[in-house]
Amino acid sequence: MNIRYLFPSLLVLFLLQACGDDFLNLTPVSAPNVTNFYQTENDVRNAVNAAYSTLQSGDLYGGRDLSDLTEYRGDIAFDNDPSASSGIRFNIDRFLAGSTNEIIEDVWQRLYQTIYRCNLVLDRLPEVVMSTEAAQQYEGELRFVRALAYFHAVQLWGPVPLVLTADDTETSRLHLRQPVPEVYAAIEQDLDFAATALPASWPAAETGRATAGASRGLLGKVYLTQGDYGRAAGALETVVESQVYRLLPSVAEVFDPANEYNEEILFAVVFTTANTAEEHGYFFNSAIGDFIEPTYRSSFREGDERAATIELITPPGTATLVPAKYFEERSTTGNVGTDFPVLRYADVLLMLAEALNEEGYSPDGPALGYLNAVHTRAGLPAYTPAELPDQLAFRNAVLQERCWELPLENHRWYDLLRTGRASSALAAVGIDISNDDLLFPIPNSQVLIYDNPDGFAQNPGY
Amino acid sequence: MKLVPRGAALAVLLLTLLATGLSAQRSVTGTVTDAESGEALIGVSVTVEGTSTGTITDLDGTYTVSVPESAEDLLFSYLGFRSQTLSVGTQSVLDVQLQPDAANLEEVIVIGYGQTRKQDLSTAVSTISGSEISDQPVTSFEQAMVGKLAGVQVLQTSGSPGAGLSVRVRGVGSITAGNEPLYVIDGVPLSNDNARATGEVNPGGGYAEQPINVLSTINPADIESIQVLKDASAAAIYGSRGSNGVVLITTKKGSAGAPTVAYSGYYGRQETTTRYDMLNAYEWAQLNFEGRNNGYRDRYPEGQDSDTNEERAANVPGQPAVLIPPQIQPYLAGEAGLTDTDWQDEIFRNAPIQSHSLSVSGGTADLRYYASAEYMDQQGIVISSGFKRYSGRFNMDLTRGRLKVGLNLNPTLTDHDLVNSEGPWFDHGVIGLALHSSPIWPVYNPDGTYNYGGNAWGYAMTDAVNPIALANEIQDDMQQLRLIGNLYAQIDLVDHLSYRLNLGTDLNQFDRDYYWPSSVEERGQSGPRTPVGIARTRNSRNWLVEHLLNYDQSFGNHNLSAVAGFTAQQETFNAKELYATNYPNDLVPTLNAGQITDGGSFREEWSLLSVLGRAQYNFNNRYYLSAALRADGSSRFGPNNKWGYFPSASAAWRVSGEPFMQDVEAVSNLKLRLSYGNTGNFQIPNYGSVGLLGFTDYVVGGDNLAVGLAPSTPSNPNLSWERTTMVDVGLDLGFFNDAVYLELDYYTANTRDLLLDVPVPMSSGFVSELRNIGEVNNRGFEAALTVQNRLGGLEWSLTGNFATNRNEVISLADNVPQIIVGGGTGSAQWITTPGEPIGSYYNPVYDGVFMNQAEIDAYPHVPNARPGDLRFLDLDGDGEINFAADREIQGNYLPDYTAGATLNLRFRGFDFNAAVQGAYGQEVLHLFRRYIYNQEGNMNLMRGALDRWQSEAMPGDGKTNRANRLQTGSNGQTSNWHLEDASYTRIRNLTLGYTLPVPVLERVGITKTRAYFSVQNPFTFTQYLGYNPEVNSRPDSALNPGEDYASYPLARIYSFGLNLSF
Repeated sequence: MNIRYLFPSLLVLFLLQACGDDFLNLTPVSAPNVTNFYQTENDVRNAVNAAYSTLQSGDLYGGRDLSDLTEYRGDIAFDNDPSASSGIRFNIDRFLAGSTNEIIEDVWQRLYQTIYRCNLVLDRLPEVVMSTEAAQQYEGELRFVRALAYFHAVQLWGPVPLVLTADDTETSRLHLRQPVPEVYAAIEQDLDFAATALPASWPAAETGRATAGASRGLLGKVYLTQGDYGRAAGALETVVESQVYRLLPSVAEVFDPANEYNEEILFAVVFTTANTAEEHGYFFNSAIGDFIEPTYRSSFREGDERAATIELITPPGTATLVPAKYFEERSTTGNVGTDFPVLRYADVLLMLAEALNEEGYSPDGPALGYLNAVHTRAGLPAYTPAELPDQLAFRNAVLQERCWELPLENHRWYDLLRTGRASSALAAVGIDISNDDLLFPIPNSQVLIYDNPDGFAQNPGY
Repeated sequence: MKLVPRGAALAVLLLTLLATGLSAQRSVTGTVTDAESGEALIGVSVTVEGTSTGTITDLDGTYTVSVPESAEDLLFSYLGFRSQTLSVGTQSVLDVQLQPDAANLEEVIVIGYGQTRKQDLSTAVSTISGSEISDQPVTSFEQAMVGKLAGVQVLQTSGSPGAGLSVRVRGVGSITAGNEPLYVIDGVPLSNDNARATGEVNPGGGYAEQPINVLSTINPADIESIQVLKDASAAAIYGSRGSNGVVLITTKKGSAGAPTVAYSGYYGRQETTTRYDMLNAYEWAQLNFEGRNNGYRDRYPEGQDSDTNEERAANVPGQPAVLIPPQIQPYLAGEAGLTDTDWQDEIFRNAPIQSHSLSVSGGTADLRYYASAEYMDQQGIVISSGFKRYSGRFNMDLTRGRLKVGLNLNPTLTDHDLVNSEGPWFDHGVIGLALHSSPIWPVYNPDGTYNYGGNAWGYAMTDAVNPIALANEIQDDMQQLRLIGNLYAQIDLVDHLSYRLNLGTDLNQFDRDYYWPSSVEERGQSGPRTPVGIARTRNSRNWLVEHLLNYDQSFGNHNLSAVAGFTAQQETFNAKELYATNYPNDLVPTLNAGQITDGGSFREEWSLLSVLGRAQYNFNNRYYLSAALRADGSSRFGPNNKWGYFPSASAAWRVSGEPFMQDVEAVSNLKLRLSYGNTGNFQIPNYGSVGLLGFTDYVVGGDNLAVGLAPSTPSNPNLSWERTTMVDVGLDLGFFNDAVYLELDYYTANTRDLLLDVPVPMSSGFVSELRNIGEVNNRGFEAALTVQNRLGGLEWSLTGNFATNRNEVISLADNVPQIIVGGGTGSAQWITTPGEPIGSYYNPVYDGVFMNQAEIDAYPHVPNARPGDLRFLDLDGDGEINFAADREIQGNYLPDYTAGATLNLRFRGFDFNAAVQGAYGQEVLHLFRRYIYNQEGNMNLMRGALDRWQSEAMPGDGKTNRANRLQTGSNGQTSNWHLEDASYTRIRNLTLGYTLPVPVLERVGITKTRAYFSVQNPFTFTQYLGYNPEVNSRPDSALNPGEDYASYPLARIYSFGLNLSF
């Protein structure tokens, strides 16, 4: 044995051992990771963008799942393909869906993912150095998005876990289902804050972010849903008085793909074909025929321009049917970039009309003006006080107007719930439902994970 | 001269060696006989030591060999006998008696960081020799392991050329980390990370492609032997990578002597072994008609079959599924001679396979070499699919005094011609589409273009793109360039102590090019499609440094050997991809012709640092003790658990070595073994412990991208390896000089700290989190029996193996009573729960069809059930059918037992080999039947649909639901209706060979010529209705195995082969 061979070997051995720690501690090269994130204002901005982007998910506004729960569930649209995916969508439409239905679970999961992303940044926000102004703005945006997510959750499932901080996965088990009023209280606090912290509008390059007007409009809807008509009217009137928004001359213009995020839009989930990752397939498309209830189609009055918005057209080169309001020429990848409206001015006006009417019927009050603004925009003659002689007639007219004005915008099921009309409306399309059907089942996977019959029980009837 | 590279000098040296030779010759003759029976031995190899000169004995056992004057010794070797070297002297006649050596206890077994004699083994190790691999037309060596080794299940889940196989050593120990064993080739542990080298390309995917076989770069003819370390004590020396077993591959080395050139090759034809029995166009049209009428009358009870489409549309508006497609009218009218395409005939073909391998080996006492080159070309039985391999190998060992230096180099180029053949029809899987496509459409239009009538057909028909067009026109090629190599230097430091430095590497370069031309339609869209081009590359670099100290000494009857080592291994991979579209035409498929739309690059790495030690002691070759310890530190483990320790111990008592056994002549070997060991599973994600952020962007200002980043996985600093503790008890028993040899093993293995993606409350923002939790037990019994004997001139041997494995989940996380996962379709479920095997089928139970309305009324049923719909059991007895609750465990994909047997016969120049294997007691969820056995008529159906319920008077077989395009009664619900017994017995291989008598050959200088005819997979006996009872759509996932969503069938191969050496 020659000592010359041994020495280099031992040296290698020594060197390897010395650098053992570096050798074994490899951080991800290509994936950003949490170890060094949430430190600069730019990190925060990216994290806030990520909170918005969950809304683009196919489970929420970027696809069909949320619409299954809010639109197909109602009496405007129906699922026409019972055999697709073992009928998981069909079952929702027909009130057959049980607690293992994946669509329902997907929506639940995505809403809580949205909430988590908001919570995570809200927790870290105080530690990041930036101007108070900027911090307020980010907080406002996050709390708006969080409120929107909770608002869906509480309407769909009733009592839900109210998580307002980003907890580790073990701690999150302690968040049990909270009573509905507590959830609403948290939503109101978030929107109150957002309404004061957010600007009335953003520079052109930043439109699409939540605004004060969007927060107030949504707050109005939250009050209205709880039957707090006074505060609802208050919040909505602030939106009207702000004069930031207006009705466009025709509904068709509101959905013109060349004119997105127009003055009628308070908040929409934005998509674009400018980037292939930000596209989506056609909203409400069907490959196998009509999915609009015939009773609904025939309910439109002569001359109502809105009937055209739900006419189904076949995009060139496809065998699918798409409602006109969501039609856009396909991009090279076959997708489109149409925005999904979450809250628009016509909705605000109709909510305001509803709130004022519930406060007290007035034959020729401002409520009628708001209703007629939407009604006449569609090319119909204005309602006269004689046509809506009492509170009930007015209430029916507003609900009908919402039905005509806002189809396929994920409002119908909530409108039916809020006005107590779900049962009668569905009976009219041949579906009998019970009170238990007014809430969706909690995803069975969650009931199993919590394994807590007291604090985390399934909704009755499932 | 100084500039001449050392490589060139070495080459010159080698050439010189090859050219050694000519001198004066003389002739020696003799007869070789069996020392026990006295019978002549045929085909014994006789070589002159130190030269290439040699011959084999003829039918009478005699030989004649030319011997150089300078030669001293002749070497006589024969399989199953001990080799003998005899001095020639001046004799011209030399008769030899060879001693039988049945079980070959002197056989050297590689055990990882060392080797041992078989008789000294105290752990459970199975061996397969190179000759068992190379005499079959297998493209990858694992195919030759099928059914040969007790407790090693080799699953061919796909017949696609170059597709990966699943190897399960003693069951399935891991739920979510990998279950593939560690492969070590000539001391270099390979990483399994390349199986999904270039990701997925199928647009609209979401259904994983089958992994490629990373081991298919290895030429099976280069393999000397394979050892499988089965018990944890044997595998523990590989520490955190040992818990799925370790497969050690040793490649051939040259032996001292003049060069031997060997050729082995085969040419074969492949065909499908089985087909689905599908409806013809007329039967299908009738069913389609009936299904539409039933849907129509469900909505409009007064409807008549004869109603026109106008009447139907008026009666049931907005429902194209009740209309009758005009294309089926001629079939309904019974017109003769209409198009009736058998799509299976179109998608499958008889395909050639061939391989040619040439090797040169030899050397001197100091320098030995083995070099080989191979060309293998397998075309697939699915059109357009194929796999080619060009491989080379150069192995060299040099001894110079106390120093030994060696080199193994294995460069390979493989070429995969990929076709999206597996997976669902709706994901453009061509086999699924071929089964699904309506037989009324022709493949081609009269003008020779593809017919796309089945796509965007309308009438609520399911869209089916012409699978022939997809297979032929979409270009998808992947090339892999690989170099596996290692270099070692070993020096004897002092007597009995040596130091070894081993440097190894595994370099891979993958290139994949994909092009979907505009001429091929996309599902649901008629007319030209936007072309898509994808270019992907991935390279991985794996390097290894090992320092080992070996100690080996005997003190009287005390024999001790020990090894201590320090190793470091690291792997980095880089992936790049580009997407393009907007090609002006289909002339140039590469991305330069299109417009780049997207792209990216990606890098990951892992590292492993280890210290290991092992000591083996025996007293008088009777009492054996062995202990080992390995410590592994890895970048994959969380900061709180960076290092793991894996101890093991084993003991054996060779009873037959005891004096009191010497009188028991019948028992030639009796050994008891006991082993205990700890191993780990390191196949966890590279960055599983680090919470990763994912890009998730938003849009503002109309079109401006607002970059978003959010956690995609939660952090877990405690993340570590899975740990397996295994106890093995074994018995080796040899009778009659080991002519009958039996090995028995019983083992029980508990795998703890399972890496589980534990579902967490979704209110945490995550669906699941990776944790080390839970425990799984695998226990089983293995038996391997070898019997060999001679009967006159007939030599025969029979080897058989039998293994049971019982897999049982012991516990999961406290708050996780069960893990339920879905599969390829929404309603199929698998459950993993304590007391049951991993991944058991968990679905509703159907028990026939409702015969009439009275039965429905009397029975729990789904709301819209009608006579002829499926009847499900109300398992929870609440009076309602609720598919969330009305489910039960219905078996699993793991066999209760496996068995294999091989028969070898040799008579005169003939040899015959038959291998059979089987697996019993497992089920497969034949999910594809949800589409081709659902009687909706929107796609073609299996012939069993003819037994459907049609009316009370025509109830069919009572098990098959009625035809209905607008399905009612939840007939599409996955249930035990789709679960099939997948037990099978397969004749794996039949080979008949003939070795030509010597005199014929000597004239042309050939020493051995063997020709053979072989059939792979000639017969399979199974109840399973699909192509392949081993099918598994997701071979990587233990939680939901055994799903068949249309699979690539295994081929039956008829081949003719030739082995030559000179």
